[in-house]
Amino acid sequence: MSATSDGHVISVRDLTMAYGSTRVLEGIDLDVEEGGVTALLGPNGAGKTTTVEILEGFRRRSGGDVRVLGEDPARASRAWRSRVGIVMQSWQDHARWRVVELVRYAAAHYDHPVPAEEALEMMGLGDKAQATIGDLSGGQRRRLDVALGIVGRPELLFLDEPTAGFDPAARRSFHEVLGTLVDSGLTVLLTTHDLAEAERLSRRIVLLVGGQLVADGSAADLARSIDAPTTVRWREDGQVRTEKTVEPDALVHRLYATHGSALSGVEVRPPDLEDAYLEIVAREES
Amino acid sequence: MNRTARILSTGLLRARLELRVLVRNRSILFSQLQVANVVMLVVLGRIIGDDPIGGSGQPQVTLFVAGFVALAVCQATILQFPLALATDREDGTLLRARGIPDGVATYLVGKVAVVLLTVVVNVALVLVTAAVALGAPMPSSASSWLTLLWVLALSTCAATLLGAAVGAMLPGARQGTGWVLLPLMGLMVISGTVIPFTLMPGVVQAVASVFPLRWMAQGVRSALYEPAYAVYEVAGSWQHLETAGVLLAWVVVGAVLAPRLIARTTRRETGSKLEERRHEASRRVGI
Repeated sequence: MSATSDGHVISVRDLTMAYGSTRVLEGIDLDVEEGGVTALLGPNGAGKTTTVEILEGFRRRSGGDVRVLGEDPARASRAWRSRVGIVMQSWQDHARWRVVELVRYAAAHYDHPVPAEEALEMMGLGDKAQATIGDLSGGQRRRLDVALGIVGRPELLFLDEPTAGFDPAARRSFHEVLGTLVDSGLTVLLTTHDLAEAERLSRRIVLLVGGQLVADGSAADLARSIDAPTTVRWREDGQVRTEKTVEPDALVHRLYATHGSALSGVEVRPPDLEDAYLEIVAREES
Repeated sequence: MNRTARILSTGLLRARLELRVLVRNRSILFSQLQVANVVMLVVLGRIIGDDPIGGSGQPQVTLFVAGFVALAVCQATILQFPLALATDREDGTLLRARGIPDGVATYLVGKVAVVLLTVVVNVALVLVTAAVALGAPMPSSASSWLTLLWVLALSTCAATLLGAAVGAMLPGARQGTGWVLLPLMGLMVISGTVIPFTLMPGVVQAVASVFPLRWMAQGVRSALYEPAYAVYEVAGSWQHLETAGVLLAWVVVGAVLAPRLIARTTRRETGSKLEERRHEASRRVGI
């Protein structure tokens, strides 16, 4: 593992991007440290995809300084490319190839790849090795994309909507695999619309709205930052009641004092990432 | 293993895997083998192959065979190859290659290897079928074989580079018919592949002479006909020097254009572009 000298796997200063006269990124600063999952969130059109494509070395930026694994991705070397794994959306390539054939071909480009069968095993596709790629279900296809993303043992993995189309069991097992990879030192930049997934996987969340970074912190930090009320729900005489309050502790004390043992099923739900996300996006967009 | 050797060996791995796909999918294999052309050749040969051309005593069937050999080269390189490149771009194969170290290089090596094999197999298919079904001649001497070899090598080289350039410019596989198939059919008519070149008006001959197909067909004729038939060619000779010159010029044009165009197309290939195309495609079919 070798990040940049300052310990940052990704280091972005004043990144701007304009298509013609349309400004998509308005000067982004972002440092991502080695290890763990960082989620890049934002509504459609916020500039997430553009940002990620610049970091992946797929798109030239209009301005600013970008370092990924110590190199400028716009001038990426072969060695740099082999340290980066990419899992994008909407891949439908090699539909007539067999699963193991494509993984083996991809693996042949790296110096120390994960053996093809092992990569498939890791993603729960061991029994699909001989299947034709075009016959895979959506979720299986995505897992194959991830297997291809990690087959070269990358230090940094870009994951774009990795679990779109997964059933809950597949999503859970994917999260476990990702956890294992992250434990072994992998740095992940995740883009997703699944806020529960982002909250569960990421130690850090970066929110992009209108081409600017508007929030940065853990899911809990973000939730705290918005001063949203906590929802308290309880059962009183067989009736479910809810109340929103900024002082949930006081409310709960009051409820017990008033109803005593007649009270049941008390739930206290503090604002979560989804509340924070919706609040911040609405504020920034207005 | 150094980098170049590794690109070549991984590219050949890709070629082997692509061939396996062909073997598993008979419908694609069938179109890769230009069976329709061979059938057309046999029909043409059976109907009018025995007629001598313009009272020259020159058997027409040899003209057809030479024309179809040249066509086999062009079809594999300038038609099938660009369509394959466009299809791969549309389904994300090229983008996938972009995200892999030296992936685009091994992808191209694999593609070109398959194209070269397609040329060899289809040329052999035309020559052998013509010999068996039509009694058409093969090259009759070592020097004729040598002529056939250099003409085909140079032709394939030029046409493959051109095909790569065309494939890079082709907006999508669906545009292949308008962009490539129709112009190629036009060239086929005026380049002396089925209709003797001498029957074309001077202007048409001049136009056809700019493009490689005319010279490919003439070069192959020089390997299949007896030397004496050279007098029936437009210039009264086989024009080997001119043939080599024009084909080499196209090799140079292709070698300059193809890498630049391919690099440009590859550079433009991104996930969002792929997504956009997919949206457009689904709108088109009304989903």
